[in-house]
Amino acid sequence: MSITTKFTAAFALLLALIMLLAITSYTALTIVQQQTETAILKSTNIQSVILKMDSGLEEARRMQRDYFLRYSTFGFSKDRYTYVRQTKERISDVISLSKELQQLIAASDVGHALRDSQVNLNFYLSSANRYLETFNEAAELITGLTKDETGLQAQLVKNSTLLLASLKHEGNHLLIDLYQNMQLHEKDYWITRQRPAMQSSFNVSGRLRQAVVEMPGIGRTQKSDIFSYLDKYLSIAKEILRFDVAVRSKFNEFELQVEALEPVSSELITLAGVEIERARAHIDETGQLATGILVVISLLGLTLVIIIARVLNKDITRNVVKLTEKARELHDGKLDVQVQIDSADELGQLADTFNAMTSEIKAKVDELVHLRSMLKNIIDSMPSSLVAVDKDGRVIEWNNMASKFTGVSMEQARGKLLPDVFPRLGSEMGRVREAIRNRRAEHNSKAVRKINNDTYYEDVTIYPLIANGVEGAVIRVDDVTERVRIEEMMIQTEKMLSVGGLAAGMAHEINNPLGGIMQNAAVIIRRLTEDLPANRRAAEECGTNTETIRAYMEKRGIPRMLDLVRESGSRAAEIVQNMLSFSRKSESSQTSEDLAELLDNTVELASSDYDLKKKYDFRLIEIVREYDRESPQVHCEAGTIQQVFLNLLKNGAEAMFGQGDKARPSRFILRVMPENGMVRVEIEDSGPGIDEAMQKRVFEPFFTTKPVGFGTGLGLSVSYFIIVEHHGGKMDVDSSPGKGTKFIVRLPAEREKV
Amino acid sequence: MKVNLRILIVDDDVSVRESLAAFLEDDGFEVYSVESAEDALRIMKDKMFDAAVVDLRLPAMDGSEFIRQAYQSWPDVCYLIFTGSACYELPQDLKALTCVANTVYQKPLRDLNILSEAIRQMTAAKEGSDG
Ligand SMILES: Nc1ncnc2c1ncn2[C@@H]1O[C@H](COP(=O)(O)OP(=O)(O)O)[C@@H](O)[C@H]1O
Ligand SMILES: [Mg+2]
Repeated sequence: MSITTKFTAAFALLLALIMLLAITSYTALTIVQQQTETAILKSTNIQSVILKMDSGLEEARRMQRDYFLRYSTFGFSKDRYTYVRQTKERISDVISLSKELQQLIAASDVGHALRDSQVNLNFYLSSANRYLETFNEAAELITGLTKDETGLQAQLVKNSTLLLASLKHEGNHLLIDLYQNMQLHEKDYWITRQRPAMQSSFNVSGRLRQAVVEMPGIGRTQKSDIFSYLDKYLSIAKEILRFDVAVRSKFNEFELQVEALEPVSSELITLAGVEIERARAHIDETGQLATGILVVISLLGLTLVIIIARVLNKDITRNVVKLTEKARELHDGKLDVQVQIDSADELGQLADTFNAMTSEIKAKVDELVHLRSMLKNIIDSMPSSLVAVDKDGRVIEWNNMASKFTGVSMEQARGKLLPDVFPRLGSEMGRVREAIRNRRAEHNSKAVRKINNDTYYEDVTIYPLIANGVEGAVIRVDDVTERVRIEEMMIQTEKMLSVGGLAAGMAHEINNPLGGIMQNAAVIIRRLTEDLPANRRAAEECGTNTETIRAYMEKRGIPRMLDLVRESGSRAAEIVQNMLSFSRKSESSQTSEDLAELLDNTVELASSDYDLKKKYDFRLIEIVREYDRESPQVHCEAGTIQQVFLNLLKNGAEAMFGQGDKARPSRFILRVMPENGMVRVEIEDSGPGIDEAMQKRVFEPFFTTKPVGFGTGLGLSVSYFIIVEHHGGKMDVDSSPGKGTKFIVRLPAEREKV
Repeated sequence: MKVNLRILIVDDDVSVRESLAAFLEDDGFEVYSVESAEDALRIMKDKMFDAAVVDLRLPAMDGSEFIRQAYQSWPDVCYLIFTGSACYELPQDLKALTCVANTVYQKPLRDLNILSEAIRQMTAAKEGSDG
């Protein structure tokens, strides 16, 4: 299972945990809310109890008022009982309710105000109790007043009836009227319950009494009966008055009690309402709080999960993946991998270690590669062919030079037998075995090898290889052809120099006799062939004339002989002159020259040269000039440089006239141009050209292809010597046979252009 | 009619000396020849010369030294060097003199007319400058 999967599982678990937490908190909140709702129910209960109490009290009061207003008219009817009983029931209801309320408040968790109203409730309870007592007392009084048969009112009615009967017995209108008057007032009282009404009745009863007294005709017994009735009436009426007063005072007391109770109950109602509001607010608060908490917890949980996920992903998963990738890259051979993990944890440390490790590996590998390539470069840059072979003569390794030499690449050669891939070394196998056996190097220097008539020279050295238990040999083949050539060249130069030295020493000794020969020949020619006065005179003195002498001379071929003497002398002189060029010259005669100008002068010289004219007409040759006029001056000895140019022009002319192909026009192309701090002069002819083998030899002294008497073979060697030895320049030949030859002379340009 | 130019030849090689003298005589010069510098100085005291053709390698005094000494007494004479040695270069003091030919004539001369022509030109120039 990958780390990623593991972490995903971990996150899932974490998420589940947080969800569990949320559910738990939600449940807890719900419970709290339910509890709060119970509290609210209680509050509502309290409120309803209080309201019931209040309405009970209100009803009791209404009924009690009713009762008070109507008790006199009820008589001893059942209604009275109903009223009293119902009123009592109400009041006791109220009392029991208030007791219940007391218990409720005590039992439940209610607000301060309500709890504090306990005192009021106590007061309420006691007031209600007293109210009941008072009501009982009032009911007692009323019973005493209005009870059938025995009640004061019944007594009064009975007495009045007796009185009326007594009065009627007398049959006196006045008395009846008075009685009725009295009854009227009494009735008034019953209705109004106003004491003056009763008082008026009393007054009338007094007048009745007076009337009875004054009335004649009434027997004594009748009279005393009437009087006792009247007395009894008075006393009962008075008693009634007293009772009424008592009842009224009782009712007043009720009113007081009720008045005391009313604010208490209304306060309780208010408190109950407040309590409900409080509970409701509490619920809302709790609900909001719960929602808030839930949301916060959920968000917190989510954030936490995200943070953890990110942290884990950033710090661990990604880094691990990165490390794994880089390690794989390293394994795949990418040595310069580096992991970038910016964390201080183990992964960071691991990355650092990894980086240090890869750097070290890379450095080591680089070093190895570098060393290997350096060694290979060294071996490849060797100018020698290097071939390593095992003891059976199979190629183990060889360098660039060997590949170039044989045309067989290292890969193709490896494992092959030496004679198969390097035939030239086939003959060296014996020496290879010898070297391995004797553990000693074998040399074969300047071994001659011929390829297409060309001679090459090689040094072959065989070193035995006895390292690390591997037996074999390293064969080194050096192409020393060039060196041998240079050696030959040096010998040649030495020869030239000694020739030069010899010539210098001999010049005077040879030139004087040569001078004698040539001058004498010249004088002889003149004295025999020219028409001089002295000649004529001498001829006449001898009895002949110049014509005869000339004729004789012609006949005997003497002028031609003399010419040949002179020519031979001048050739000898030329040879001496050329040989003299092979000596070192002082630089004092060097001047600043324009090579283009020198070349033009030389061309002019060549076209007017008497000797040349005899062989060919230089003017028949077309001359093309390609001069770069920007070419710098050259510090040189003008005479010798002219000699070089003349040699080249002569050679070119001789080559062009000598060739059989007359169709090809004779043409010189002369070029002068600057080249890398030198001035390059080219003299190109359209002659037959020089083949490659000969090109290497034309600069050798005395090398000539011309017949004896025509070529000395010194022209080019002298020119080469003048250019290279005297002036530090270069001289080359470039020719394609059949097309023409180009001689290239390069002389160092003057530093500052004058 | 102009008098023939008088030439002195100083050369120890008899073949060269005599053939040159003959050649110049044929050319119309009045020619005297000696085989050493010392003889030359002696003869110059007796006769006036227009030009002297001088070899360098001479038995005792060499050619350049001779020119130096002769010039002291006869500065009007033209001197031409005619030598067999190849590497000779005219010394600076002699080069400075107008009466000494700047060209060193090398033996063997392919054409002696070159020399006679040079003598004629030099003496003519001399005459002209002297008035
Ligand atoms: N321009 C040329 N074209 C063809 N061959 C040439 C040319 N210049 C020189 N050679 C060859 O090089 C040889 C050597 O020339 P050089 O040294 O001048 O001696 P020489 O001219 O006396 O033979 C010549 O004999 C000729 O064969
Ligand atoms: Mg030549």
